[in-house]
Amino acid sequence: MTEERIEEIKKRIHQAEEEIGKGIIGQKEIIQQVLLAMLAGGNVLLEGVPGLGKTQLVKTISQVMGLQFGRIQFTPDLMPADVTGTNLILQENGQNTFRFEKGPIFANLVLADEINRATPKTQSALLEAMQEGTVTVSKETYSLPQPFLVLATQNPIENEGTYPLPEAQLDRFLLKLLVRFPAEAELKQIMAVTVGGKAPVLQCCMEGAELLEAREIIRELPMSESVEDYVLHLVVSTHPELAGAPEVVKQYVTCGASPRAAQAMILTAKGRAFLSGRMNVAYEDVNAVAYPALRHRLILNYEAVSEGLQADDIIRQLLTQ
Amino acid sequence: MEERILRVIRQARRQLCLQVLRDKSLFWIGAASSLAALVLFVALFIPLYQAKWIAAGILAAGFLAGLAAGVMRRPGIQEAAECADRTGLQEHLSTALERQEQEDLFSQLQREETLCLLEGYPLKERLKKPISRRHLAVFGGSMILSFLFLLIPTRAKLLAEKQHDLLQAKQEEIEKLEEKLEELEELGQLELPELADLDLKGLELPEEDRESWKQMLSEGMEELKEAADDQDLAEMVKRLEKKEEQLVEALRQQQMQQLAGNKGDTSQPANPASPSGENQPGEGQSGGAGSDGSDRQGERSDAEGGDGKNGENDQKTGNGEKENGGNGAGMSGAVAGNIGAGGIAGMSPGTAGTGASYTAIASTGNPGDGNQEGNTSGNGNGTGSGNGGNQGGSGNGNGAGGENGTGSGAGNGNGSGGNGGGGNGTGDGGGWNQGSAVGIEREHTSTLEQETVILPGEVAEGDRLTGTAGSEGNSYLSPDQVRGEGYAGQKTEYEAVLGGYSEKAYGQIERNEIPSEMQDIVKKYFSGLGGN
Repeated sequence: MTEERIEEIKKRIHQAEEEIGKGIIGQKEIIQQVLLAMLAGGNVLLEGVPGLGKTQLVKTISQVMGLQFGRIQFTPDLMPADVTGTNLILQENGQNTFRFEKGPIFANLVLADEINRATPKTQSALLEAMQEGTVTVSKETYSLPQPFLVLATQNPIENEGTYPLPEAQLDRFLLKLLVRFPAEAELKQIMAVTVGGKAPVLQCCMEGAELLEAREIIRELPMSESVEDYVLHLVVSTHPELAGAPEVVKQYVTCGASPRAAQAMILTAKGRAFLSGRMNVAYEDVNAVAYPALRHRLILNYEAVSEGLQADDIIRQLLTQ
Repeated sequence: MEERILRVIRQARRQLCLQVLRDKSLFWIGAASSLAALVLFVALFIPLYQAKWIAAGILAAGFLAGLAAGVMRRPGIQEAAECADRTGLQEHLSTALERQEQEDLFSQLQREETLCLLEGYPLKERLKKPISRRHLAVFGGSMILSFLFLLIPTRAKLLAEKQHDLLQAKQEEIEKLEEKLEELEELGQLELPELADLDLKGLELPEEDRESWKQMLSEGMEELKEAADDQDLAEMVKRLEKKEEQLVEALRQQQMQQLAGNKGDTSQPANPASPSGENQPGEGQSGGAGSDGSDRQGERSDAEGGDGKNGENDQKTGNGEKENGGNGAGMSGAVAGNIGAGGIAGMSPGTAGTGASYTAIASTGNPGDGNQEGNTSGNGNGTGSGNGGNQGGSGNGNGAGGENGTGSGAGNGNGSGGNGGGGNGTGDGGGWNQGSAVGIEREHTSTLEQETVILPGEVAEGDRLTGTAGSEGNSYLSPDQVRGEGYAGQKTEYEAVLGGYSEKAYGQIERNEIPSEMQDIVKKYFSGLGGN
């Protein structure tokens, strides 16, 4: 790795970010955070009401990044084999043989649309793929193509007929991004692109190999001990059972963030520093990624829910302490 | 490259250290000034003389605490780097500092980036931290209030000054008492100014008296400490002085007794016998009697002068009238023993137990015998025997008499008189009596002075007053220090006064002022001496 190569990768990423921004209007923060997750090698859970361009975002990213795209529409009757694939019996030369038919998960970028509509059993089919990058069917383990990441979406308002993701599943998402409704000006641009027939032509700015190369750079990026300590302190402080936990955590949090949260924060903070053009991580990077990295890992108690508190409220208080 | 980064960090650290020092000092002195103002405010209502000094001390302590806190909390180099990062350097300095020895690509790139960032970066200005206005306001306000509180005159302040003066007075008194205590403890002796003229330095203060002194001084100090105002203090000082006077007086009395007792214990030689040899006196001793006298301190404390006369009576009567003996003893143990017992005993030939303490007679031709009672309440007994010449004998006897006192004497002697006889005798006598006069002199007689007698009322020469005191003490009184009683009178040849004495004696015999049974004895006595 040379300085020039590092600069080249950085340049490519910035180009990709701009290109994605052309296809997704007004979601710059979401785009950047998705890119951060891709640079960190993690999965992303996108939460937002329908029609905000979640699926479009994933498609655009895969197109710009030159990644193989796969989509799974999660429904209540979706079976695990529909995700991972299944063995088919084939008759060849008068003999019955099994052939593994890969599921949609075998792609670089998998869109798990409305993931909370599938049963936990089906949701669990993603666990191995998301964490290990492999799929095991009938004692046979298949490696998923690299880079691999899952972008899942879920609708926060329609709870009927949905299955909330179990904690184990949630923890495997590096970031949870909240897709918000665009501003009026942004909405106008969206209308112009989607209704006016002026759909932008997106170019592939980056290849999968370069994304893997960028991941290596991210991991090597310097980070001072004080910043690292800050990350660890944040994660530890989310645990109400530990001594020194803030009062707000003791009052409203049932279960704190796992070590994966620290990994997620460090890696995404490094990615953010890299995308910001810095060769070291700053506190502001950590603070910026703390929300998406922690919000789905904090399990709030009934008191918090009854008071209408969200995980972000708790995180905000933790960051201001 | 690393050096440049380090230099920047060090500069930042120096600047931060000064700022921390300044801020901490300001904070602490602000807090201290608030406290000082509070103290001065309280002093407006509560008498607190030391308020301004306390306030000044608090301020100084606050300033020192601030400096100490500033020094203790000064940032290290890593902390300085982090502080500098917070000005907008986005952890470049701290990261570069941590990885300054790493030579990997990313570390190098990070350092280069840091240096680029530092180019033209106003770190010094960014690190500047304005003085905390709040702390400054607290400090300034507190100081203004403090000065105001200092200037406002209040009743409590006046009272505090008054109390301070009182306290100083108390302290002075306490120091005086403590000095006395120290002297007492160091020397183990008491030096009383009231007794300075008596020169009693050599006297040892009894343990119980020393303890009572200590106790009195301690109690006095405690009382002084509890004194509420100057009036109270004055009363306490007065009481204490009164106590002191009482104790001094009691001590003086006690010392007098002690002295008298010491003198009385001393063995003394008896007055000489008559020069003719007919009335050879024995050696008189006054042991024991004097000490008794000291034990029985009595009513007659005014023995001045009168005791001298009594001494005269002793000499004059010479027959051992108990009254004389008693008085003689009362003057002083020593003198009484000498005059009353020993002296007269030796000079009273053939008389035993004729009076108080004048017994023990050995004389020529009159062997003493029998018991004789004193004139008044004295009693005595004695035995005597004599031989030689016409008469010889020796006698011993003892007698006791009481009126003002009792005396006892015992003597034995033998001699020959008249026709070339000689005699010798021993006698002892004693008396004790009342009187607290300073009868501390003892008669010193020797064979060289056998021919002399005391002239009543006349003070002896100085060399006569240098006798050795009793067993316990050493008398070194000079004549002008003796107050009359107890010292020896001027002596002269007995022949010079014998005529007068015998004339008086015979006159009394003629007037029957002397008991009939004693008249012969008196006659014989004076005839024996040659006084007709």
